[in-house]
Amino acid sequence: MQDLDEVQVLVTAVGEYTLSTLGAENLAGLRVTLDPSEMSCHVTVALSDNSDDNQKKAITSLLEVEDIYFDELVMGFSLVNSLEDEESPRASIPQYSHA
Amino acid sequence: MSSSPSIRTAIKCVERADAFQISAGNLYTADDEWFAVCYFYAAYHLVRAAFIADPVFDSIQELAAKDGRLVMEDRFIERHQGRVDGRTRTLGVNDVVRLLYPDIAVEYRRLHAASVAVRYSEGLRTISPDTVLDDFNAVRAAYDGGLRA
Repeated sequence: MQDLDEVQVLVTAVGEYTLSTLGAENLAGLRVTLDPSEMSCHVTVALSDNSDDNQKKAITSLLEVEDIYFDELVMGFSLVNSLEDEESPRASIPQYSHA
Repeated sequence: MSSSPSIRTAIKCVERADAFQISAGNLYTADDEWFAVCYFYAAYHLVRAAFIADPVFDSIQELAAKDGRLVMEDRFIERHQGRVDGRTRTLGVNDVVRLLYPDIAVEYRRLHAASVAVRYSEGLRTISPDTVLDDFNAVRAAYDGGLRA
């Protein structure tokens, strides 16, 4: 496990790369959290357009992000209509968000 | 994943997938969102059956040529997600599907997300029931068509 500063740097990097890959213009919100004990990362994506085709494009992009960070992290994701649809993570958990 | 012994033959995996598919259809008809969980686990058993039968796992050289991150033990992988343990990164079923069967990777991962949404979160708010059905049918058609790396 890395120290918390390093983990925060990593989760910010994952979040910014995910944001650029998905495109801010396509998002209603994005949140990335990272559990440093397991180096597992969860990406919550709120798309502006939740059509089938748009969801598939987003998941394709998320799989590319997953591959970039493959050696460092295990990644999971959820698709939501709004970030408020999920419980907010505890403030102590390293996280990145874009709304 | 449960620590109880899991099935390790392709035939038994397909038997479980067929049973889950029937349950999923019944729940779908009843408008019960747990159909998404059943369809996901039907897909899970189908891809595990494909791993077990896939000849790519008969040869270390062929497997390494496909992707250097795969190991022979992944043929019988059970857990959904991989793990990072120090410098070691082990794979999960999600990873193996992406590396070996990229044509169904998106559908499989959306099915997993739908199942997680039903079991642990707010349910099927974002992924539509028809999408879940389409994603499962894509995995089923790929398996029935002879899913191989």
